Amino acid sequence: MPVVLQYESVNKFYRSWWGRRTAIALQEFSLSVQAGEIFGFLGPNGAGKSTAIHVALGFTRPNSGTGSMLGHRFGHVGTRRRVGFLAENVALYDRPAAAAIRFYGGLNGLPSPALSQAVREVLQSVDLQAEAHRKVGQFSRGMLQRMGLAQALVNDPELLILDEPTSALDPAGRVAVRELLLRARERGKTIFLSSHLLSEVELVCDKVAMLSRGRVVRTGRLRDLLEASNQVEIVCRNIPSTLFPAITVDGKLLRLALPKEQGRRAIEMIWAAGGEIVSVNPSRRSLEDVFLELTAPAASIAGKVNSA
Amino acid sequence: MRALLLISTNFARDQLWPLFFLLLWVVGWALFGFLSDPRTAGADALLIFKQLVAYTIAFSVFFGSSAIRADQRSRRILGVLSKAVSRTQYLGGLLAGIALVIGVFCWCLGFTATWVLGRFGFSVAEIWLGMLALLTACLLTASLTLFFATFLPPVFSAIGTGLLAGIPAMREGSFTFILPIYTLVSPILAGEAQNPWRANFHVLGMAWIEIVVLLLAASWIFSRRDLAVATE
Repeated sequence: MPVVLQYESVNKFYRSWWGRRTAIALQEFSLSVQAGEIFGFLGPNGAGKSTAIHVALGFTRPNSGTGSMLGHRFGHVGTRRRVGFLAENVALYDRPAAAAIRFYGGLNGLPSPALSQAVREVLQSVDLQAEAHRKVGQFSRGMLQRMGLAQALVNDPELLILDEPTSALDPAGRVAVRELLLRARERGKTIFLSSHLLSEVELVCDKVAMLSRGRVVRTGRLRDLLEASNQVEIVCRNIPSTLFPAITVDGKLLRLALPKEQGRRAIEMIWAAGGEIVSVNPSRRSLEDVFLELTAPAASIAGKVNSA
Repeated sequence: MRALLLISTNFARDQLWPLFFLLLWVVGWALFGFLSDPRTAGADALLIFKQLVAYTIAFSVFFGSSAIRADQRSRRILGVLSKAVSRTQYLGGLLAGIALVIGVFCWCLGFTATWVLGRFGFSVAEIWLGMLALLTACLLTASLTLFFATFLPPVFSAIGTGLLAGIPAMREGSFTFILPIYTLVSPILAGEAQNPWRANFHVLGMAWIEIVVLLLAASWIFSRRDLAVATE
């Protein structure tokens, strides 16, 4: 699979007017996103997620390091024609919805007949076709978010960069966006998704990267990340609950979590005791558990700052 | 070219209210010209016209100083520059938008002046040459303000423009060709029916070259600036 987005040792810090270094946003930040995947980009507030996105789009220049997007250096103007971007706080010009999407599509050089068709299609895909002639300034936050998605999709991009795409949406809206993202993946699009909503990420992403204080602390396939604990869970029945010290009773079933290397011995003990094995599975943690574990130092520092 | 056109018309649409208020002055002036006696009110009509010329310059400073900041504060700039739009095209679009707004105003002012000042003996050709000089001066002012606005807050970019545009006014004759805003506008401000303004085409040409140079310099600086500080 070709790499569509790549960061190589990118450093970014912000300076005050007098040149003093005030905040470090990215430190030796390296990451690769391959074509055709939905890549989740996670991290606590202030971790540098938006800065990383802004560097890729050329809004911000890194202090050192390089990177490429769709085979061209960051900030390459022509490449942005093949990219759709949704910013964290959607801000659009106060025009009727269809005119606003036309404007953004026009900036990407879409020819007029194709543009009219594309405007109709994207407004339909975000369920705003009935509001096509209503001014964007009268929209609710959720509708604005959907408008933001529509302007990102209007040029049928190869790479979609979405910064918190579902943060302002109601549950039905989230489901619709999730389906939209999955459909886009089926059509071979790559989606780089920055989100705080871990449950959403867990449902749609193939790979994730976790960012803490400007550094990537973990990256990999979501499935591997959630199964990374070296534990198995054995569900069985018809054995005395005193057979193992750390057993939990769940109705008629008994659940036992233990290290992988002890699994075989435990299964033999259950059989020997006349018990029946219902299932043996690698223990799965939730993404939230992994997230909190990996970003805990940053979170605790933030907590100290907040409580000070 | 299309991006430039879209950004300019988009900018002009956002300035309809300021343009409307500017045009109210022109309408008021037209009413004054219609109701007053041409034998006695010529000086007053000319004074109002000169006031309007000064206001137009002031408005071009206002447009130039606030254009980038308004987009940046609202974060709408991210939506525009996430498309296939270079920063030079973006700034060019803003300047073209200012040209569109000021152009519409100058056309209305020129049209009204043809009738009002024509009643007091001004020649139509001179009036339209004056409008061309005014439009050029406004664009030079706006491009200077835009240049400052790429690295300064709006108030400071307006002050910077005021200072640089004001130096040639204080040292008349020394800086005819450098930022000739005053050189272009002063003949209009000093014009009389018996002693009308003369267009200096060399100064006019020089001003257009300086507009392009300022736009390129502004683009060079703007393309090296971070658009958004992390919001997290």
